[in-house]
Amino acid sequence: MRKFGRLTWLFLKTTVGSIWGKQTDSGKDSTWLVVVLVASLLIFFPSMMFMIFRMFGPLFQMFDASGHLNVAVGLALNMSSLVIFVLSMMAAPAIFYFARDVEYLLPLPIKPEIIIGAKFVVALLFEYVIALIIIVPMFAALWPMVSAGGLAVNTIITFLTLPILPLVYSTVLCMFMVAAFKVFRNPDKYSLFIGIVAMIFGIGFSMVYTQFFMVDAEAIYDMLMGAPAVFDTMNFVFANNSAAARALAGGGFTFQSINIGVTALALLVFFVLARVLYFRGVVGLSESGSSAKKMTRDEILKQTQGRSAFRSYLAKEMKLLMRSPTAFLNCVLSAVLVPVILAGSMAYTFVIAGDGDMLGELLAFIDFNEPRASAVFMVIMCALGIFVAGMTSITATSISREGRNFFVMKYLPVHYRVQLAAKAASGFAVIIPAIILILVPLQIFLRAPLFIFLGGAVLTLPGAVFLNYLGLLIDLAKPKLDWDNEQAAIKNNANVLIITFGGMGLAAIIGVVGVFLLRTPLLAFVVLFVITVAPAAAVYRAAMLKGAERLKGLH
Amino acid sequence: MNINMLSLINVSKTYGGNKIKAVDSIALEVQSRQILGFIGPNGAGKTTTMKMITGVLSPDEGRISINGHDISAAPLPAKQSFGYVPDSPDMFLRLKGIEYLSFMADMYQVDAGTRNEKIAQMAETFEMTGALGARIQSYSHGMRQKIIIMGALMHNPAVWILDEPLTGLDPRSSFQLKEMMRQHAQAGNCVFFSTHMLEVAEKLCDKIALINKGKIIFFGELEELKARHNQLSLEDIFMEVTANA
Ligand SMILES: Nc1ncnc2c1ncn2[C@@H]1O[C@H](COP(=O)(O)OP(=O)(O)OP(=O)(O)O)[C@@H](O)[C@H]1O
Ligand SMILES: [Mg+2]
Repeated sequence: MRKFGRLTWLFLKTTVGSIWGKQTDSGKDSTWLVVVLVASLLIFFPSMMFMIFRMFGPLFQMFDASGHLNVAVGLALNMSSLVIFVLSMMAAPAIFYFARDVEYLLPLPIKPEIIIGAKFVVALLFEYVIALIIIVPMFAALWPMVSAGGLAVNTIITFLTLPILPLVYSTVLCMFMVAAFKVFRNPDKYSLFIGIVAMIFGIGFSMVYTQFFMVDAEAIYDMLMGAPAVFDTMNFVFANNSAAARALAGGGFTFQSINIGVTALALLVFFVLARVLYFRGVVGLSESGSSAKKMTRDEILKQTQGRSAFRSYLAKEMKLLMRSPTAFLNCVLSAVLVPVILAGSMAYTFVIAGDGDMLGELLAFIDFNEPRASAVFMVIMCALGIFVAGMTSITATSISREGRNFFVMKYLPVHYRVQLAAKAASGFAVIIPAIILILVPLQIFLRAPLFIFLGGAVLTLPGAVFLNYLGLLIDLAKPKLDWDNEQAAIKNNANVLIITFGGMGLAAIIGVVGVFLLRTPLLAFVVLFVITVAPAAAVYRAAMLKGAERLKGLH
Repeated sequence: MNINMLSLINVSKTYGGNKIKAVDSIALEVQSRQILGFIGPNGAGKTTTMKMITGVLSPDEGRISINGHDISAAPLPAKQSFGYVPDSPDMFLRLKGIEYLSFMADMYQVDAGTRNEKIAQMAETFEMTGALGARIQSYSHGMRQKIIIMGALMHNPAVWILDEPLTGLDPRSSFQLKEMMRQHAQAGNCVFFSTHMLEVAEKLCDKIALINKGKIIFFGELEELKARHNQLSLEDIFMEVTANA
């Protein structure tokens, strides 16, 4: 038991450490990251919790009135379980597989159950944090409606048991994938696969969720009382939830003990399966799938032609971006996909909210003979460039991604300005295609007059330049160089948060203010161009000049 | 007739937050045709010194010049004139061996003909020809060490700065590298390398620099060191001087 406690503590520390990391070279802890995280959490999570509270309040009331409170509570619990399942599908592999510690633990005289158990507890603690955010507002909505005794105890037990089953599912599933399929032993391919699946799942889920927010409680009531198969399936998959729901709705401790029993059974099954599956997969995990064909002397002799330092450096940056799954998903794919998804879900919302042809009406309403319409088009284009550049976070991680190999930048006989220019160019290499990918379909859709379209296209650039170099500047100021797992440099990097949310905020401000104030296309073009080009030029100069200075002092 | 190719004058370094100097006003020089061995206990300051020479760290005080170029006043020509093998070879893991080598060749502006000839020849020497098409990720520790050495020496630098270059190399590759170091010095260049293999240092080096707790406690020819210590072996001398220092 002491070993178990020690090990859990160790895993917890290394996991939190890999998320937190050190943001600067100063050796101090990452107050920077803490401030940014706390600030964004203080805004983001409470508003999300409030939304959940607002959504479930009326729903519970309606079901309570007809005596079916447990159905609504069951729905709430099942949705929480689903969210936890999806999130743990991403978190579990990081804890179970990509942390390198297992390789060092295997030779030690520790029982496998203890390693697995300690890892499970660490994963579970993270899920409790998530659960806190999504379940607490549901309970808050529920409490005023229940008068039966033991509510507090029931709430606590439900809270503690709920994340266990989804976590068992996701870990067993991920262990099975790694053990069964050779492809997934390659950590790169595994995280790419999981990342894409999670992205698709997340999109689908958020679409359903938004739909849920838009339809009123009555519609949901009708839908649920019609007992659709989806809810039966959910009740079956998360078998303990319906018992927990009955207990919460005043059904008493018999139901709660069913919940506890089912959860305990799930844990038991987990340990049995994990013993078989886990070590089979984890041992060969670092095998690299690269089975390149052997080169011969003649092939080498005609292999390489010289390139300029800038082009070669850019090519290296692009290769590393494309080949690292974390970088590819978070820096490249996000920039290309997110705007497309956003546009898609907006169109989708219009279609389901209106009678189906609201989108058509809206399009018919846009008349480019009206100067106002052209002005709005200009404003949107300008905001778009900023938004897309904010979604890439390539430059915002370009120093951080170097990690401990950062020192290579310092001994190469290439001027820092050239290296920084290549890093900035790697950002543009993704931002510009991503913008074109939106512009072309938009133009096909809207058919703006050519010069309006060209003016708008030009306006995307200064904002993109501004944000791209701003990212570089921020990462130069506070790079996160001390990490073991690339995810720490990319996903859990305060610089990325700043650039992403900063880009969104800036795009929104320009969008809203611009639409109100700028009424003719010429005015819009001139004003937007002037107010974006100056900061873009300033940030560019700062990144190139101060950046080179900063690199000298950084180590 | 021998010219100064690498010189350090009173170089010191303290890591941020620490009180003790990791490197404490050391002075060294390496002339053409010389191999200087850098030996000392773990944590003595060898890697720190080499990082300052290569511009990775900037010294708190003192001056460093390589082939006549001051590393802080004229960094680019200084960097162009050395080849550096760092202490850990885990770099650029997602590049293929050949991609890494051409990247380095581009950085040092090696022309196409020379580089291909050089890659082919070094790959043969280190028995790496077959592996160049695979990612460095899939290499063993020794193979990684070899690819880093190849990348560092690609541009035929006058000054070699090698931080424990022999660790992990198999006997044949290790022999080859030592041979290359000798030839390089004979051709009028210089080598500055750190090692914990004292027999190697004994056989290979023209001069020895012994560092302990950031201070150079001996710098000179091996014979001189032995003469001061009753002709003991380098190992015995090492045990003696690092114990009571
Ligand atoms: N990044 C760092 N931050 C703080 N202190 C450091 C850092 N790197 C090294 N040190 C300290 O500087 C001193 C010299 O370390 P250095 O790496 O130069 O030793 P070394 O001679 O190369 O040792 P080894 O033989 O183990 O490679 C040590 O006391 C070490 O603790
Ligand atoms: Mg060292």
